[in-house]
Amino acid sequence: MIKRLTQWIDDRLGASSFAKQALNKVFPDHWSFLLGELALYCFLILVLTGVFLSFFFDPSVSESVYRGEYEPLNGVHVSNAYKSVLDLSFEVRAGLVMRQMHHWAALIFIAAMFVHMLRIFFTGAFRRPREINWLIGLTLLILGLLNGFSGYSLPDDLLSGTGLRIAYSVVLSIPVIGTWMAFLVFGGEFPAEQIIERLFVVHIFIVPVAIAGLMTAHLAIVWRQKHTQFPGPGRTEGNVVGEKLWPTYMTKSMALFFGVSAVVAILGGLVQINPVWLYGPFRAEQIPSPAQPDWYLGWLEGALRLFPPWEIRAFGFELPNPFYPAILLPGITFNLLYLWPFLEAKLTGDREPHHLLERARDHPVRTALGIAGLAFYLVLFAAASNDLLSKWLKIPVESITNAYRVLLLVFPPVAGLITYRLMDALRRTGAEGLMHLPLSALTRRTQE
Amino acid sequence: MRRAVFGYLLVSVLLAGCAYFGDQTAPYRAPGVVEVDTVTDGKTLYMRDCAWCHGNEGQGTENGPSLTTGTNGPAMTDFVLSTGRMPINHPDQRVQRHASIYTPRDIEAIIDYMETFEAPGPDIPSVDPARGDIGEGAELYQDNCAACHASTGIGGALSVGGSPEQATAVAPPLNSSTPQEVAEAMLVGPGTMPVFGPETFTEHEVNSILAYVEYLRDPNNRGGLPMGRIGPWSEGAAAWILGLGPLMLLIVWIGRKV
Ligand code: HEC
Ligand code: HEC
Repeated sequence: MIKRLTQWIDDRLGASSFAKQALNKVFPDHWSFLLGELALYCFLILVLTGVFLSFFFDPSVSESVYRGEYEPLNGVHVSNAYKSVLDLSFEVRAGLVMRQMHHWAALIFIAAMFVHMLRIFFTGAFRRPREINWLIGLTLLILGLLNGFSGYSLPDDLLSGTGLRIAYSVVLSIPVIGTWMAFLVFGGEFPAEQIIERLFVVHIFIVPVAIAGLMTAHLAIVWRQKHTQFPGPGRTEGNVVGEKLWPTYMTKSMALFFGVSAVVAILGGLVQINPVWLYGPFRAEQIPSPAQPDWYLGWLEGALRLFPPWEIRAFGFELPNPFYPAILLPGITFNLLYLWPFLEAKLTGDREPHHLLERARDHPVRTALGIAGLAFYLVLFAAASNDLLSKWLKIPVESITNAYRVLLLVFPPVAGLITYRLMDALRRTGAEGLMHLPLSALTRRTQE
Repeated sequence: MRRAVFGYLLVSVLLAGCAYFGDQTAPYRAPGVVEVDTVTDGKTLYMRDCAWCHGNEGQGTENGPSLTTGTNGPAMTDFVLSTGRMPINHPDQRVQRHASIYTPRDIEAIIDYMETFEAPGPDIPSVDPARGDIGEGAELYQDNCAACHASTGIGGALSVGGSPEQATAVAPPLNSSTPQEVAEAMLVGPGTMPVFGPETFTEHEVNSILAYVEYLRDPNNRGGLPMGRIGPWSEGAAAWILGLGPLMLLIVWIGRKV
């Protein structure tokens, strides 16, 4: 019966030869090739839990008096958005665990994409012919940040409202068109009536659809171009050595999906995240402390905190302060990242197609630049919690900020230089004893 | 010869030690933990533990400020003594919460004695958080206190400039403050904290705030482990360490050759 049915389908679609080919497709085995898949499964969980949340969330900011399960806020004026999140957390069955899983999955999603990008970068996997996928991947990361921020803002609580306020002042700071842009995006002076509703559409429709589409393209291109692999016995530019999709790779992939689900479910069930009922509803006149954004925006928050309070006039325009750290810095960051494959090809003169990966040491300059860049963003990231550090160490916030400013200028070049020396030495001596350092973890597979 | 050098070293270390600790302990007066139960006369306690810094009549000395001006008065004295802020052992010591060295009876005695200074500050308030409305308290707390003490009451750094002690001022966590202390803190405005007197809040509003602060000591922890209620900071750390960490181990494991 099943045979007849498959035969019937096959006669019409000619699917079996494709399926056969697909199932026999070979994937190289190295753990770091699973990072992207990890991100993919986080996204899947985000969609599943997100659909559930969207059944109960109400994006309107019209106010009403809260009467519900959460006693301490009874009688308080709250927006419908905030109220629906309280209801989700206290009244909807499994609502809170879904909310928490969604938030945890988002944090892990972006972390996985980020580590995946580092792997691609340090192994030179972005080189010809894979530049397009580098561009798509980077776009996915940016979309991830965007959706993280828009989702974080939806509950209309005091903490996320503070984030929105910062976003508003950042948009305002864009020269010439800032005011106009801010009104366009927010629909009026902050706190505008429409912003939550707009973010909702962006968060549950526009960006997720874009992510899903680009992810499909990302995977299709990997499929078409075949996977890269580390050099090793029998591995050449012209072949792929590894496991067949069916059964080995499929099994691994399923295991990974279950693993991701388990970790997200455990965190969602056992570890509290974003208890908005304690933060209280958003009020324009209140500013909470300590106020940090979710981790993936930490570098921007840190840049805002470290940048000196300059207001610079140029070409007759006042450039408001947030412009440099919050518009110019990410602008430069992402442009550099987008252009990197082309810049590198130009600098090295290497325009050949590559299917074998490089190890970090094979290209000391790239590795050193990458580490220096990472060091830079790490300092910015750390600076986002200067107030917490000040509280714990009992050192004035200002001294800590100044220390970070110095660190920001000193640490990246030093880290880069040390990395260069290390990589260069490794490359020349091939010191096997160092192979067990964490740095060489990426290369261990290839030794077998 | 060897012995002489050794002896010399020993003596100089001892001398240096005396000089060092002598310097540290010169202004120190044992707060008299042992005698506390026998000496309950407020004047005796004040003269023994406070006068060398604040003066015999509370007029102030170079070691400590005057206690007869500003918001000083019974509420202030009760606050600094019941939160263990006073006495300190050294004029430059950081004034912060400690276990109080006095029994409630001693505190009462000291307050009684210090009333003779006729300081203008407020009296000890009578409080009853049960009569407050916790919802109103939540709103008032978020409006007036959260900017410094954090929405969750965990405290925070204040980035005020000026003098070094102001710059290091930390709004302390409120998780061990009793309602009485909270009410007193609002009345007297300790350190860099502003005063929230009767012209700011009615008695009912004060009780509401007390109720909410009391609630924050052990709030509804639905959702699991609160991780210090620091917010996105600890959440980000957990996402990497408890989330991505195990998943990386997992992919290393299943990524092996089979
Ligand atoms: C080592 C010196 C020292 C001793 C002993 C000491 N104090 Fe103080 N006291 C200070 C200093 C210094 C301050 C100011 C702290 C600040 O504002 O940072 C202060 C502040 C105070 C204040 C708050 C004054 C204001 O206007 O803010 C009160 C009340 C007070 N002390 C009472 C006492 C009492 C009562 C005792 C005895 C049990 C005592 N102190 C013992 C040094 C001392
Ligand atoms: C400008 C920031 C600021 C605001 C606003 C503020 N506080 Fe404070 N608060 C402080 C600081 C700083 C201290 C520590 C004072 C000291 O010990 O020198 C403090 C101390 C306290 C303490 C004593 C805690 C302890 O460790 O014993 C309580 C209780 C308190 N505040 C309650 C409140 C309440 C309630 C409100 C709102 C009505 C409030 N505070 C508003 C800054 C603030």
